[in-house]
Amino acid sequence: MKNNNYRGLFFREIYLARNTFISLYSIWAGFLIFCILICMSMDFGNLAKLSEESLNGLKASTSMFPYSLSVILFLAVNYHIDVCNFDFKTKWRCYQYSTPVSEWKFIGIKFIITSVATVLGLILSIASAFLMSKVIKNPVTKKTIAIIFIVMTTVVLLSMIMLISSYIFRSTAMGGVVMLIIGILSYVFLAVPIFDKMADNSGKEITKTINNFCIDFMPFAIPSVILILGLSYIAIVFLAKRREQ
Amino acid sequence: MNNNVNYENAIEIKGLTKKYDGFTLDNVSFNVAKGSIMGFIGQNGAGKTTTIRSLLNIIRYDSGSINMLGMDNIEHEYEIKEQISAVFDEMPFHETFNAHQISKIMNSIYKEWNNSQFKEYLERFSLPEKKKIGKFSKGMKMKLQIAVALSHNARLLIMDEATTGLDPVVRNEILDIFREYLINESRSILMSSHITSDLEKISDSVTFIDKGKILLTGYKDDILYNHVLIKCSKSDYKEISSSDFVSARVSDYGIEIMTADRNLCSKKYSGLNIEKTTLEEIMLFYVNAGKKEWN
Repeated sequence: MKNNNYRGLFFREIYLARNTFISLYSIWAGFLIFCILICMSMDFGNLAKLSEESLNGLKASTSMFPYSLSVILFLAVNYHIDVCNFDFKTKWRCYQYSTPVSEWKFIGIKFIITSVATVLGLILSIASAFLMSKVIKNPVTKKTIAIIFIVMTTVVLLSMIMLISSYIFRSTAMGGVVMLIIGILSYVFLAVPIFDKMADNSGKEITKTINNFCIDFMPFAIPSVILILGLSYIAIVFLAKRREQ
Repeated sequence: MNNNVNYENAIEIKGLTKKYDGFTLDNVSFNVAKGSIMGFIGQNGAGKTTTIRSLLNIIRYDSGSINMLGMDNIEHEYEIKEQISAVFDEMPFHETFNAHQISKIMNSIYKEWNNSQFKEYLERFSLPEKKKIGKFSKGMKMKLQIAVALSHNARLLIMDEATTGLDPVVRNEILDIFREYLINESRSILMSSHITSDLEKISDSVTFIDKGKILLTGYKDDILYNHVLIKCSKSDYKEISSSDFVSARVSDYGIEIMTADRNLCSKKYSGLNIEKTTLEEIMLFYVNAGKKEWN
């Protein structure tokens, strides 16, 4: 008798999420090319003809490009929402319970793919930051890498909150509602005070504080992501083990 | 894995109880003998799906015990599930997959997955291997589920309303497959349906459930032999003791009475018109047994 290999179950996950992966990585590649073209145009193209003031503003915007690229990449971590959406809508969950594969294995496969998407996101984010630095002729700083790590931790954390909420309510729409609430609360209690302080002439101080926090957090980013994924895995297995009452 | 085949009953349910708001599966007990096919009959909402979901540990039951293939269904959950197949009334596979991809997925799920057997079933059912499931008809989708169910050497098939909504030709084809499946005497089937004609053709035993309670369980031939329909006039009806029948259907043309004891009725009411009955009639008369008289 053969031992179970899980290739088929990996195939199922990836096949169902293929559109998410294809669109996200295509958007990332397209946006990367767009960013490079903008930067090149500031040196050699039409954008070089802009006034110094406009050019400085544009350069400030280009410094955000690596982070925007990494947000796109880490959104791939959220692939499982598509698969869950299908699982909740069809009888697959019911069928899954009738098979000899435990929830630890079914959910484990999702988390292996999530982990791979996270690592790939990190590698591609750092690679795109280096590529951008070559184009804009600015070295990659520790701050840039630190912010990429913060983006990774934040996206993974939010993605896991959405996944757990979806399992709690057995609906991805409810997971979306939870994310919306978190978004509104973050805006009110985090973003608004920061904007206020920035308008209050202490903008540089705030930026410095945020940068320092990012750099200080960097060594803890990977352990944090591992912890978030580990705890979420356990939580989701227990939620998936719940049976209908 | 426990491959013990020394069990008498493929399924043993004792005192299964599950309470919902407005519905109770009440102390359900029945057995499915090894090597047999049991028809599980009841109206929509009678408790068939709740019983099947309890068997598969999809829902937690409040009390009772379930043994499948000689093992406790919770303690040996995964061992049992390696050796059983469940077929549901709706397709559980995503519509963008094709049969070839389903085989790839099932190969990861079942240790005894037999790809060549699966392909044989696909060919036999005329199911295209590379066509997306979403483009299949309802009958094709059901055949695909059955092909999956029969391709990993399962010793017990549990079907929840699997033939509902299919045309008679497809249903007959499926019933033939089940007969072949049961040639191996260690295999058994529990088939829930409200299409009693299918179960009358194929089952060895039947269990009737209504409003969460088992009304009747036993060998189909015994049930069909013992139950008879007495057709009589209103005046004859007054002579019949109410303890001798299940219920009576009253119409302008006369009265039909279902009794569960052919021998007794043949002796006691020999002058009346006694006829054979069907599972469908039996179900109808039992469902209305509470009213005693109905039309």
